[in-house]
Order: sequence, then structure tokens, then C-alpha cells
Amino acid sequence: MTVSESQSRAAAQGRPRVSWPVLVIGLIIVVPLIVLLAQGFKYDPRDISSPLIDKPAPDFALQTVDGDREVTLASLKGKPTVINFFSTWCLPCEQEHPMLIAAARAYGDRVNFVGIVFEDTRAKVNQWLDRHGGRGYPVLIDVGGPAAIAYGVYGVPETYFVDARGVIRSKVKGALTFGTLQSQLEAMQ
Amino acid sequence: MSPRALLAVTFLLVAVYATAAQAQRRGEPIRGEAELALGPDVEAAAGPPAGPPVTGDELERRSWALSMEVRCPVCQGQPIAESPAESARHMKRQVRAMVAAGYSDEQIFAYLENSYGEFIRLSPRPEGMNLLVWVLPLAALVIGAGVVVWLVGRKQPARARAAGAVAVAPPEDTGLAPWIERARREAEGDG
Repeated sequence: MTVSESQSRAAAQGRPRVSWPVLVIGLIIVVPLIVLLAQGFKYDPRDISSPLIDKPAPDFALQTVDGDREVTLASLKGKPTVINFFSTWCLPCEQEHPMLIAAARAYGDRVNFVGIVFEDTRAKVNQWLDRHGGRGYPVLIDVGGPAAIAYGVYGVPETYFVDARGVIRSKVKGALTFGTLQSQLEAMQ
Repeated sequence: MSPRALLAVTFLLVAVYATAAQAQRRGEPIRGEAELALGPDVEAAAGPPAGPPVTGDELERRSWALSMEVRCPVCQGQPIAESPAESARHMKRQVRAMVAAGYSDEQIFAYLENSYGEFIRLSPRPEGMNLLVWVLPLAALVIGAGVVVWLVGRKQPARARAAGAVAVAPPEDTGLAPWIERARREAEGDG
């Protein structure tokens, strides 16, 4: 029985007629698209990887929010460094800041902690720090955003873990917990 | 100063201010804006500038063209040139500062890709898997055109057959045939 005979029979029996060429072409187009889109389910859209992982951390030379001194990344080498980009208008930053102050106190001289202000003003940051646990570590103002661009910051908070040699080992997007901080620092040992 | 001249000067000042404010909202570069000093990481990531410093119209034209090709990292598929976001404005000034310092377009893209990845390019490089972005729409167009031609070609022979069938159909019997036959015989007889 030919295809046209089967189609005629299907039409005679009131069944919808199947156009095989159209069906095959449709499948050739649709199946690869479904496979391609299904690949997207493997990835977490909030997990933005950084091309800087395992590369030397970009250097910066930024003033503290108090304006009393300049801090460079080169001056922090020799110890693991936690670089936290934050803003006063970011709620998760409020949540993690007291934990970062406590962690900086707990780790003491073994780990450097640095905060870098993202898209904010010196006056607002100083007020915000007074309200949310103070300055347990140097907080730097990134006027014009060169540090944020150099580190490829998409939003705040973002925290970069830099080892003692100055290589970025990982990046965490979103509010940090003490557990995450601890495991990231242990992974750098 | 006459009231009319005062009014004209006021109108001019408002117009200049409004134009500058509108340009800033649209993200256009504004002449005279303070240049951003290049960060200490730029030379390490992009190397020394490939050319001499750039100024004037060339600086404006290249900064704008590049800013139209750099994706705003906090927006939805928008170039930094058209974004009012603070991050986009910072990046636009960084691009402008690098152009002014003499960096080539490729060096500037390489610097931004070093920190953001290839995602920062609005138009991906036409190489490797990226070629699919350029080839697939063309292939879809060719396949679509082929399907249309095939479908139209399949219907036309059926129409032609139907038209042919009408042409060879026997003439309708009007009942005049015997009369016509008789007239023809008489005419032949006369001949």
C-alpha cells in the first residue's frame, strides 16, 4: 500500500490526513531546538561564572571611604583575601555585613577582608556602615567603577576569594553565610 | 538688556540644559565629561596601547560605535551606549578612556572579555559554535523558501490538470447537432 493510498483510506475513514514530508521537516527543525533548550536546564541562571577564576586577580588602587589612605591589591598579597563588592541599596548586603565583620574578627591576621563599594557615594556608605556593624576591615570607594569592571561584577553582593599568591580561586554571588565563607577559605588552603 | 533679549537668553540656556540632560538619559557621550583614569589592571590585561592617543571627533565616533557593541551587564540585551544604568555609564567612560589612550577596538574587547567573558559582546564572534547564530537563520530561510516552492509547485499541476479537463470536456448537447449537420450537407451539395 502506497502513502497516498493510506492517506486516501485515512481520509475516507474520517481520520486527519498525515503529510509525511511536512512531519519529517517539522521534526528535523523542532527536535534539535528542544535538545538545545533542554541543555539550558543543566545551568543555574543565577550562577554566573567568572572567566577570572584561576587567573591573577586584577590589581586596584582605591581610597578608603574615610579617605585616609589608599589600598592596593599588591599590598594584600601573602595572605588569602576576601573581596566583597557591596552597596547601601542592596538588602542581601545588609544581611551578610555583620557576618563579614564577625568573620574578619575571627580570622584575624590569617585572612585579609576588603569591602569595595559598588555604585554608591562616600557619605551614604559611611552612614550605612555606622548603622550596620561599623568597619571591621578596609572599605574602599570605587569612583567610576574601574575595580567593578576589572572584576566583571554583574550585581551586588559578589565576593571573590583570592589566594595568598593573588590568584582568584572562586566567586560567590548573593549573600554569604559563614558556612560558605569557611568552606571557600578552607578550599584555598 | 531688554526683556526680549533676557527671554531669548533664558530660553537658550534651558534648551542647552534640556539637550544635555536628554543626551545623558539616552546614554550618549557628553563632550567635556571628565575622562576616567585607566585602572592599574588595564595594561596588565590589555597590554600597551596599539596606537597613538585619540581625540576629537574620532574619539567620539569610535567610543560610540564600541559602546553600541558592548552589552550592559545589568540590562536585558541592551548596549551600554543606550543604557541609563550606572554600571553602563561607568563602562562607557572606561571604553572612552581606553579609546582616548590609543587602545584598539580588539584590545578593548579583550580587556572586557577578560573580566566578563564573551557574554559582554552583543554580537558574538563568527567562529566555532557561534557560527550557528549566523548560519541557522540563513538555513531556516532557505529551507522555508524550499518548502514554499515545493508546496506551490505541488498545487499547480493539480490546477493545470483541472484546467485541461475543462478544455477537453465534450460540448454540451444543445439539440442543434442535426440541424448543423443538415446545413453542412446542403452547403456541400451546393458546392
